[in-house]
Amino acid sequence: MKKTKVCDFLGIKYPIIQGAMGLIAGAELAAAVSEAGGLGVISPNAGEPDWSKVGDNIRKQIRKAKSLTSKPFGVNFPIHMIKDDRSLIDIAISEGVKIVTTGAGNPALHTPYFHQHGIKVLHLVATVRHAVGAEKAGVDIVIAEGYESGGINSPDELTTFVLIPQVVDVVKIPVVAAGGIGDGRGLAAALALGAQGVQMGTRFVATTECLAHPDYKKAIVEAGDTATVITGRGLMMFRGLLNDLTKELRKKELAGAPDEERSVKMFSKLSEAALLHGDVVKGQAACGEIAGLVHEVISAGEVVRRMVVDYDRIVKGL
Amino acid sequence: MRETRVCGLLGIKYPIIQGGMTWIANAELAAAVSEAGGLGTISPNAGMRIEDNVELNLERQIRLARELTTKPFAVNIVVLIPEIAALVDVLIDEGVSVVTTSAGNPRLYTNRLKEAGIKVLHVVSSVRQAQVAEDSGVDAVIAEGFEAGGHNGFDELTTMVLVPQIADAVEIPVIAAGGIADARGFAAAIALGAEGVQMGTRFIATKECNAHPSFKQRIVDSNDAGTMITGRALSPTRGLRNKFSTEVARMDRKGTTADELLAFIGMARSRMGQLEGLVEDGELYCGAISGMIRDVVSAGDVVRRMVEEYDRIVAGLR
Repeated sequence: MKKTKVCDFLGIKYPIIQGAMGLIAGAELAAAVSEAGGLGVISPNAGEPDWSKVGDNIRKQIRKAKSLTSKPFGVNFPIHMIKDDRSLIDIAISEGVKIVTTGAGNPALHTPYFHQHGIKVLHLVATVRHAVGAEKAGVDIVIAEGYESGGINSPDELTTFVLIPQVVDVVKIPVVAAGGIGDGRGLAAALALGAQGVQMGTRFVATTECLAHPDYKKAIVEAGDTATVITGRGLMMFRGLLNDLTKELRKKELAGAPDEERSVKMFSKLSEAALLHGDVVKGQAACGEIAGLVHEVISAGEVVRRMVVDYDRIVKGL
Repeated sequence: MRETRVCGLLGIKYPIIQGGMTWIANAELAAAVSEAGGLGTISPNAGMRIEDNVELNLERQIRLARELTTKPFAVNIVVLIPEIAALVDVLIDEGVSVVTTSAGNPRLYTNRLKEAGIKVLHVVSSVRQAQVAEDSGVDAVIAEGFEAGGHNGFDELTTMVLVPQIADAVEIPVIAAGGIADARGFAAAIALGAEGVQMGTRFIATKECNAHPSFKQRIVDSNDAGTMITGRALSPTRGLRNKFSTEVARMDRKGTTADELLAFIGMARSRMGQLEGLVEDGELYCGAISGMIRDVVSAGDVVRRMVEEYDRIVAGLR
């Protein structure tokens, strides 16, 4: 496939970015994606549910990724979790990280600091207004994420199909599409909409290198098209597998229950239970709507290679 | 652009279908789309007063479209409405060439329509519905995503995830709907495996559409966050944000009953908004792509722009 601005800017071969899924996007996965020509991204709490121990974990993960690949990879910083504390960022700087993805917070808070240290910043947005704000804050690339994506979601509910072209029309920096992409068709569609690359989470959960518990991977592989649901509307919106937990939360929401009865916090014990311990019935199992298209656990490199091969075939047929 | 199976099936030049928007998919609009090489669609209640007879209105609309074009056009019927049997009789008597059916069981009327030589396209919003429609003998499915305006599926599957999953599950052609308003969306839909597109909102903001000018202006003025879903528990509907939808959303949050909601909405709220132009008190069905629509142009120009730009976009992907 052709190279895009995102490839040139990040020094990668294919504009395929692996989303930093909290708790489970570790060094092995990131390195495998980068080795295959995409961009792997490490989550600070990969395999480490105790946020107070995240500093040591980041250092460990970065060093491991470096031992596995000499290609570029990134680290994710959820601004909502780190707030204005730069201690975790400083660890990444001292370990020589060159690319970060940020989200869930104000991009103006840390972008200048990253840039002072020669780090490229990709910031996650879900509306045109936030994309404009991110560009003003100086980020290098926006990742525009649609309503179909797994995990934390935006109250504006804009889907990838409508979000990408509208963001592309208003910002000058490159746009990466996220949400609802699981194969070469989604890659070609995202580029047709004007994106310069894609980010995928759910598809990369179901890979051999991902730290996710095998039962969680299995649940994604077995999921059909209607297997996910949004909970926490008006609070912290979240897309995950429809299970005992989310059915109950959903029921409360539709009945107009008060906020405190239907709120789940970021990186809670419920996420840990599903993602790391495989309790996909009572835990909070982040999952995008594209899970219905994911039919097997394969290596992350194979995900990238298949997408690129399919992309070329699809584009020829258009 | 290349021909798809949808072109051959329907006898049209470009696989671009105009949705049959209630009250406002009139003969002049349908004929203009068909004349430009797409497929126009009439809504049986287009332009009529509440007290008018819908069968007579449909007959008049079909005859008017025939005067304006010799090319094929379609009629959309909502299977759930009480007048459905009489409307099917009109379609057969008038020898309409294509019928799109929505909101109801495709097993009920597909055989009768097909025996009369009519091609049947059925609107679906999940893989299961698409399989049922194929088993019922429809000629193609219209896979409509969460971003679409008007009545919406409960499963909230977006165009990006719905189209490839349905394309994998059925053998008949798939037409993508929801979130498409220009050639980028058109090319993206074809990349996902669709063989055509259906657009509603883009065709409201055209000169030939009989929607009230104030409603068209609201679409042109709206931004990316201009629409929302209301009635999530009972009958999810996407429309423009206004006084009416804000009030319904407030009732939703309280956990309202079907009776309370129906009492508030009353009769023909959408007629009030869309035909009479009461853009605050009326209901304005509108898709999430409205933020990308910036002008009221002729329906033929919508089709021509999409076809011209399609080739440019596809060339850029190679």
